[in-house]
Amino acid sequence: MQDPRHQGADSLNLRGWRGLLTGGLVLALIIVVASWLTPQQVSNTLGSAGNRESLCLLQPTSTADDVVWQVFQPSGELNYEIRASNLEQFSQQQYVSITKPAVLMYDEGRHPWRMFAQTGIISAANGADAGSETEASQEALLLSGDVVLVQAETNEGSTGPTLRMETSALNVYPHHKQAFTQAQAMVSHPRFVITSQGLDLNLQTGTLRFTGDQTTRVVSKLFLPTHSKDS
Amino acid sequence: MINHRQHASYIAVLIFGLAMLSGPSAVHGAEVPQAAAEELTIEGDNAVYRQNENSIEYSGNVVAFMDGMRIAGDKVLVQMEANSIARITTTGEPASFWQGVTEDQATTRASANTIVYLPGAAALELEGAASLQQAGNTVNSTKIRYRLDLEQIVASGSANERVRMQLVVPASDDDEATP
Repeated sequence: MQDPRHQGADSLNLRGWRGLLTGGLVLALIIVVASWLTPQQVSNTLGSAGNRESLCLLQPTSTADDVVWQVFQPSGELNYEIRASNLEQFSQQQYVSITKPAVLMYDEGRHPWRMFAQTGIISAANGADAGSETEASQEALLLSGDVVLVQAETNEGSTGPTLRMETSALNVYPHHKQAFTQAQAMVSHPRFVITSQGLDLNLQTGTLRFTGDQTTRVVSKLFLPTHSKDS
Repeated sequence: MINHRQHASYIAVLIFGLAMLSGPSAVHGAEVPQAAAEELTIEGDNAVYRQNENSIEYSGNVVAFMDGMRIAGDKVLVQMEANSIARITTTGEPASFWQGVTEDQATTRASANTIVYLPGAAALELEGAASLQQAGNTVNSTKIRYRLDLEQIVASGSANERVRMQLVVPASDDDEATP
């Protein structure tokens, strides 16, 4: 005949194991569910108010189609112009997303620079008052996707662009007439082609600084004239 | 039996067809066909294109080369005039040049503080401790002008440095025949 104390002990052990097993299953279930959800989503599922707020953050505060944005100098001359097929403004994130942007700005000799890309982001200055000179001076335009920059002579009789740059991304500071890229860039001219990994452009003076990196040098091909027999 | 009229027609058609394939200039005969431009490749660590000066400056282990010619130096300045490349100036300590099929088989070697390549004249101007070796002969001078197409050397000295030439005189057959 079995000792009743042992029977009780066995019963207690069995209940303990069941409890541990149940707890382990619940814990495993929580881990699996949490791994599927991001922390933000986890927070949202726990609170509907948080969920509504996060959805609002992804929505633009305003949109516009076929936009033309012009900025003028104090003298009244056009400083730069940005056109886009579509514009979405995200006020809380303080940036504007544009589609198929086309940028026009002039150098000191009033020669136009034209820039084209697939998409662009205009970021506003942080901490600057809206419409202030500080905000304008800190505005940045990030162009990405088949970025092309061309400059054409304004002289009559010009047959086409004299300078053309192609890259995958370009950071433009319209107020400072500066731009730079750390991606591979190629500049074409009737007399040369230059490729580099990185490029700084002074759109005011037309000075282009090509840089290489540890594995890539600046490489250019110059198209020389045929020499004459006379020395 | 040969039909001369048909034969002449066939020749005319053939000539006309060849002319059409050659392009409008050949048909009209008004334009002189332009020779294809030569390509010069320049590599460097950095480069700066100055649009207002119409120049490109390369720096950092700069090498310029094209078929049969190579120039190396610390810096290279490309100067353009009216969209045509006028001169390419290489500076170094010293700048170097060789001409030939390969560097090992170079027919002409040169070095100077400054080497100026004039594409329009197919000429090099070496200045500052200039030295040029060709076919075993060596010319040292303040300034040396070298025609790439003619392989012709013109050397000029200064008040402080005269032209020095070291020539290799080949042995003549007459000397060997004389007992």
